[in-house]
Amino acid sequence: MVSLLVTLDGVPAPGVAVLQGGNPARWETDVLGQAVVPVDLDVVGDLFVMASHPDARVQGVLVDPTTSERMTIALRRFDRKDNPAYVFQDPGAPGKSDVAEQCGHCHVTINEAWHDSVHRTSASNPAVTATYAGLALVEDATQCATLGGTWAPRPGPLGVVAPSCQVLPTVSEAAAGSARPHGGCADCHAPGIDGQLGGRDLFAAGERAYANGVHCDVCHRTEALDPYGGPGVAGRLRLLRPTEPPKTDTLGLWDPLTFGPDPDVASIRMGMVARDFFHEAAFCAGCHEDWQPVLVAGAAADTQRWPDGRLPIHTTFSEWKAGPMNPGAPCQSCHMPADASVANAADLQLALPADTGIIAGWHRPPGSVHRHSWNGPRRRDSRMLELAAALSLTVTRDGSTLTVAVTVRNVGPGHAIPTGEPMRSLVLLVEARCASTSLDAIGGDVVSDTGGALLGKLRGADWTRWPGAQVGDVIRVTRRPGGFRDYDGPGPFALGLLAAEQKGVPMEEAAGTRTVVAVAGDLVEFDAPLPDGDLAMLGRGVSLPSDGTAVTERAGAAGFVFAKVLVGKDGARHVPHHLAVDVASDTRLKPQASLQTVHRFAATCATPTVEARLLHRAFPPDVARARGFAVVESVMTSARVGP
Amino acid sequence: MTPRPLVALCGFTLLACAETPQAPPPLRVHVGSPVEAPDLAPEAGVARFQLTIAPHRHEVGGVVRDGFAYNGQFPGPTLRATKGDHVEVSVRNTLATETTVHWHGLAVPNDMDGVSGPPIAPGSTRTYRFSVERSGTFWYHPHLHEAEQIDAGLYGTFVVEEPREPLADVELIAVLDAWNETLTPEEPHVASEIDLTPSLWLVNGAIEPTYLVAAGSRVRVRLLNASNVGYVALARATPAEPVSSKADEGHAHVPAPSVGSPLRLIASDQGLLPAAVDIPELVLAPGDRAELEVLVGSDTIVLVRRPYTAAGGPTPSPAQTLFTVTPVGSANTPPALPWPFEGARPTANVASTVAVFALSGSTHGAQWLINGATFPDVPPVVVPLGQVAVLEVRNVSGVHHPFHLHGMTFEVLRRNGVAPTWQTIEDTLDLPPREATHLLIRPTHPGDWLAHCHILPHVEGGMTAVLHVPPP
Repeated sequence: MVSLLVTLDGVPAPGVAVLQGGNPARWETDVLGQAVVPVDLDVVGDLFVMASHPDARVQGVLVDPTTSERMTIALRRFDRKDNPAYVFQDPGAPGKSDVAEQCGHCHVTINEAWHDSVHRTSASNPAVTATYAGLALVEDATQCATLGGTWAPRPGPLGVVAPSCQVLPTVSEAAAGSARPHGGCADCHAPGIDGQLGGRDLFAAGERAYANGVHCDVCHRTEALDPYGGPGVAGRLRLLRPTEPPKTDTLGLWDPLTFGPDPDVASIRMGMVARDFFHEAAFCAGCHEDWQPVLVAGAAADTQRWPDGRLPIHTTFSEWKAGPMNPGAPCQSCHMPADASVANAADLQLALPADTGIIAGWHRPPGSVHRHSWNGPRRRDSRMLELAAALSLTVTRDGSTLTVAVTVRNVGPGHAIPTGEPMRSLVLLVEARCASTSLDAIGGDVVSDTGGALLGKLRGADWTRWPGAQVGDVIRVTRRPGGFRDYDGPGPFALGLLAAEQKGVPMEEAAGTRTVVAVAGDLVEFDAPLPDGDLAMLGRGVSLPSDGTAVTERAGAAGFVFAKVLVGKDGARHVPHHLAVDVASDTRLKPQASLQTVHRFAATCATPTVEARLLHRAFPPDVARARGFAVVESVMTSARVGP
Repeated sequence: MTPRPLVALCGFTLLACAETPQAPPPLRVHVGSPVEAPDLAPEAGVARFQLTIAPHRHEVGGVVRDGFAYNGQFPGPTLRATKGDHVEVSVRNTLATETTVHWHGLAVPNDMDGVSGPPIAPGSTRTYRFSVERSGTFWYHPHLHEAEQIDAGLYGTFVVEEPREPLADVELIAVLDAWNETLTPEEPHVASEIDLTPSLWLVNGAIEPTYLVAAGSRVRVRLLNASNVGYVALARATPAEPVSSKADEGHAHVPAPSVGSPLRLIASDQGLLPAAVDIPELVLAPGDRAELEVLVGSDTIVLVRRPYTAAGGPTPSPAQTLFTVTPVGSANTPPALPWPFEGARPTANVASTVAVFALSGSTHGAQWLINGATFPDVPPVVVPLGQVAVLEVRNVSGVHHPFHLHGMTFEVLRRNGVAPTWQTIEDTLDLPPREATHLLIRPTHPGDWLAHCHILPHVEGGMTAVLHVPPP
């Protein structure tokens, strides 16, 4: 037993957590600041007892088991003034760093996982940069011209001036004069820009902030969460950079001050203060929730739809918060799974046995360290796409009409699917065939324009001319019988909150598909006359796509699209969120929610094969084409009935 | 039961007792296995047992702890029947609390499962009656206050023999359990962690027992992991592998060289496999069983537990000795027994999935979810009696879950989309993080059947669903 007195700035401190290093049991000081801590002599490493208070760095004392003398731990409040002169630390490259100031010097495994994560590339991701600068990712002026862009030298990341193809206004141009200069992008995408926190130009990021994106010294410099703030640093993430002089010359310019989940880290190099929110979804909400004001000059949100003038752009946290996984499975449970391969967060298994304790930490229960990989759907080894949704099929036949009901259910994640970046979509494709011949979809639900079309024409337009069409392309014709689809979408798009017409999905059904068999200039010949309909769309890609193939235009095909659609000032759909003035629709699937779609085909054999496939797309094909983004189909799941 | 001669029972560790049977008829020879409950049925085709549940003082490694026991044994007595037998087990409860007995892995009528039927009140007796239709190594344990009562010592094996299988020279039933896993309310933050990393493992209630076996024996090892949360990654020690032994007070050491060959797996939850499989390591999740054929030559065989946790798999700690098989005498390694492996392949072209169970939860929370809900709020799944159906179980959490289905077996059709080489029939299947598994079922008894994770804190956290099988 160790008898302890804990003081805070010289005054006995009640309610302070006290514990033995390496022993997960905890106690609290009494009203007199005193506690008796049983010491487990079997703990491997230093016998050390420490105290953790939310306003002070963790401090401790070595235990002498031979004495019963009361020991004192003197805590001191840290300075709560943020220090703009502080320079964010470099995490270091993968592998053990020789530089003690780099996180990878001790936290080798965590640093390597982070280095391989999308948090590191949050700024340097080419799609992020291109979106920020309104660029298309093409190689030369000729390609740029075909996209209608302007090819010219422009400043880009890190101040480098290079020729690029601008096709849209930059974020800074669009957001100039708005409540969020520079769109607020850097507050989450490059949060480690030194100096003023928040409101910075993404291209003001220096090499460290740009290359490292969301890195150790940003998250672990977060002292508190402000639920009423905007996204990112200086908003919901309240950073506190140290201001006090260091205790020794080897500690750098400032006395280290680090925030993390563990109350028993007494390393002077860390200056650790424990915060529970590192295990909570609210921490992730710091960036993964953004109700954005309209940034476009001269435009405003429709306050009948969006009373506070903000658009639900990123709503991953609120989707989780409103769903059944709250509180049982917070973000970290999936995206930061337990990592049993390490003995503690500082890779104790790599340290000298003699360093176990204050220097290298104590052994943690396996699994209590979390992998800093932020597994996401686009990291295929995470298997998140495969685990997210389930499909089931019901097939009935009435005469020559085959009716297929497909139920798509969000079974895996605690948030909607897709989530995050509004450009993401899930595309359900349903195919019926007799042997190798695809059956014509003659009714039922179809893939919306988010599924992509090379060209679309309304009833009354010339449906014989299709510029750019190639032999093998298809024209998919749909009918719009009137009215709008009601659906139970996320957040404001839930049943009963908006009228069906306000949810932005017109009723649309398949009329038929024809194949281009000959092309003469813009004139096109089909394998059969086009069916009557209200909308005809030129598409490419007929059979069900395989995983990893380039996205193809599927609008009008038998299927459905789960997506959020942002519209711009001029009515353009699928605009990036800094150009959005409205959210037209949001058909994404809430956690554990399901949707049944129905499709009708003209059957030409007794037992057709029916197959449904659910695809994840990072960008709609039209956007990918316009911006030069290489996008492939990711098959999430499929179901099949028949031979 | 239909008896086989039983002439040698040596129920103590560190006891040299196994002599090779001398003459026909074939003999069942045990070393160190839990003592069997006598079969009280004189007639063939019936197996009848009596169990009395009572407080019991366990002593392990000099540490005494109050717990419970069946028939005063720790682990409980092995019950042995023959495939096709009608079984009657009379269970008397002398505890101050209610209990039940669940026949883990046996397809019994719903009211005999230890869940739906009435509990055994303090001071009362209940007789469980059922038939055993599959051979294998099963077990029994409470399904009421199970985390507490199992950890207190209430568990035992139930062996169902298949007369077509050859008798091994020696049978060793090894019940593995982590000592004293019970979570203490004084340390709630510890209870919130998924894994207590139990460091002290018992084999048949003993620490690091040594079993003496005649050299040249073919040993059938029936393994059960009866722990609440702990995983066992069983392997043969190799000369280069550091092993921690209790005798060394936790310091790593290199054991004497041993055979070092892979483990020969011959059976899993539901009896003999379609073929023997040589594996370097056997991971036994809580509730899981497996059988090994160990061919003993003249070398000592050290079986170790490589550190492994539900929260992420292998850990960087040294291996620990579980038990040692020491040959007596000298002989060449014998050939394997002629097991009647049937070579069955996985069932193909089955119906589409009828239900998906998605398992989730956090090591820093108290809830463990199926389809976003905790028991009893998980919507039940209806499966018609006698019909083939496919369940898909997805582990979307960051930790392992041993999925256990009551009242029926399941065939593993695919794991992450890949069919196993051989037909795989189980009742408890470990799902690592991010795995999706398709299971084929055909309910044979109507009723509400539990489907749950067998990590008992996860059960307490709600990770249980119900399969409803309507009566015909």
